[in-house]
Amino acid sequence: MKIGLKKIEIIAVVILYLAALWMWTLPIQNNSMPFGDVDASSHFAIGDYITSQDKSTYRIPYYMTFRYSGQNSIFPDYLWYPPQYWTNGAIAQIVGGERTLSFFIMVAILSSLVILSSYFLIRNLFGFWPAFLSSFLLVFSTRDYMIYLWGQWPQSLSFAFTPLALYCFFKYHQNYKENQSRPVYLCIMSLFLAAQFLFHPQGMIASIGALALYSAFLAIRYKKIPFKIKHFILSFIILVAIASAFAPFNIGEFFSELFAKQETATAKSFQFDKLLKWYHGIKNDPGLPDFYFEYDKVHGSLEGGLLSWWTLPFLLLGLLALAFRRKEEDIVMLGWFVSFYFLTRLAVFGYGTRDIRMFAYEAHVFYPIIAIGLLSISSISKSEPIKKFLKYGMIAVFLVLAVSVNGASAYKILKGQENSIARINPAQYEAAEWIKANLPENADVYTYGTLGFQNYAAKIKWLGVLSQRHFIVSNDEINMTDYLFIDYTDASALRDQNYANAIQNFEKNLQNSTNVYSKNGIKVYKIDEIKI
Amino acid sequence: MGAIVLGMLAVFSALALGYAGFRTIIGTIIIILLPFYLLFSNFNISKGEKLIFSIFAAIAIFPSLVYWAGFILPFRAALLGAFAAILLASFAFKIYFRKSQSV
Repeated sequence: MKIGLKKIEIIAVVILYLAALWMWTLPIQNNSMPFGDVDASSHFAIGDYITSQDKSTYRIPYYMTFRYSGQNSIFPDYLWYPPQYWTNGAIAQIVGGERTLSFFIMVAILSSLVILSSYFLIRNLFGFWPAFLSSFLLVFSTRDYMIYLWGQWPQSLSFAFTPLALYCFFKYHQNYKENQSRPVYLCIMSLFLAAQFLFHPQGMIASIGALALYSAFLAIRYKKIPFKIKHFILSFIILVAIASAFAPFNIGEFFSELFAKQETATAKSFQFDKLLKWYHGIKNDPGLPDFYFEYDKVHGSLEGGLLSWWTLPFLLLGLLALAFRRKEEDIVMLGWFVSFYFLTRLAVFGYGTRDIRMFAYEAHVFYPIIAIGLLSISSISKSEPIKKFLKYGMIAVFLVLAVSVNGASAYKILKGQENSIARINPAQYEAAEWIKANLPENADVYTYGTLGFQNYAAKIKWLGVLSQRHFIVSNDEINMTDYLFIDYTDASALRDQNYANAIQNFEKNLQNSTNVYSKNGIKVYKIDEIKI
Repeated sequence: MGAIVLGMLAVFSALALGYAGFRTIIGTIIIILLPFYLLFSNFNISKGEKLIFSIFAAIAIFPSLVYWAGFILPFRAALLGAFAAILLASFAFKIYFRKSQSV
């Protein structure tokens, strides 16, 4: 039975994406407990609340108000993000039938969709091998799986739409050049830009930046505006209409944050040096580890080493190839690259609060260029047999290095999450479920013994959202405590007797309090007054 | 080809992620993605565009519809309602385009 090339390609892409999904679900394949740092619990909370209430909500529930009330500066008690990402989480819980596992499967799918969107763009611009190789490398992208582990999920999904926005504008311009006036691709592009706004405006800004630079390069080449003004107006109306219709409480917040300038007291007087360094000397950032700004670690292996630099020569070669060829397909990538450069240097223009977060989509821009650079090597020979040998030889080198350097590092990190102490354990989960079913909705709970105040209180925030009760993470809320959550489980997991003794000593003060729950190393006490 | 791909996804989801994984992945495809794929199938675009556009449009528009319907209906009912609405829209487009072609 003959199988056509098209079918082989489809099977190859499906296998690639399933391999990505297998990799990215490593943390949950044998452990369905929640994981995720920083914002993860927040992005679980609202969808989970919607599912449990069987009703949508636009107000922040009580237990989340202490963290997010006021973050929507126009509607302070309303949701601080548009609700679509969270609603997808709620849908996954209902469709999949599981509170946590189904949700995290949806997160893994949404966080890895850039592999498909990138493949689609690069396939249409450059063909199968650049697309396959760049998407293959994206499976192991440290930038992307770190954002996934940190819980910045809406932002991650939003960036995945940029390749599609670029594709749509590319197709529109192809028709425009041939005097075919078809705005359909611009309309679909607007739909995708609106979707980016609905998930995280940063993705929309990344797309607008890329489209603006791409358009500028086209304008220089063809000496005219690369679109019809009425089509542009139509697409702008569609973008505003969809964003307003589906996230009416978040439009004002977006503009409020967009025009907020960095405090001049903390800004350096001259920041033009940032234009000359790729990671512009970022170190000791309170929110990000140093390795996030080291090329070899973030595009190779987290352990570093010489081989971790393997992609850099191909990246430089790819940029040279694009700049030398300057076909319209190349201009798409150049526009995306140059816009990325400027968007990661917003501090130079006084918008310093978000430029560091723009590094999150660096791999989306770099990896196709790396693949193009690698494949351009074969063009140095005019002999067809040597060209073929070089091409497939370099592909083999690419695949081996991607797996042995990037893949091995990614596997270690993702697999290591499976039994991480930073995750909620089954005893904590069961206790949280009991609290959800039995304590009043406005209960304020202080935990003693749960690991986490030193790690942005991630685990304690998870307890809060799983129990749908206010778990105190800020010292100025301690006097609100109605219930104490005494947790020996982390001390037990660490086999730290001193830690357990400290908890025991604290618990001795609760002899006159009412013990309402005691199971698997966790106790909950109703108290009148806290003494810490 | 579609059946083969769906089969691969079903086998993977069951083996790697168990029953919940199978239900989540296949359920997401049927309830969220399929209606949009049928909708986009009415338009004169390539198969690749239909597939990719439907995936990315679905994950943005479907939750938008469900979310807002979830204020007037129970959320689970809103989910089914959005599914039905997109399916109906895709059939309505199909009939409309068929009629305009025959005229």
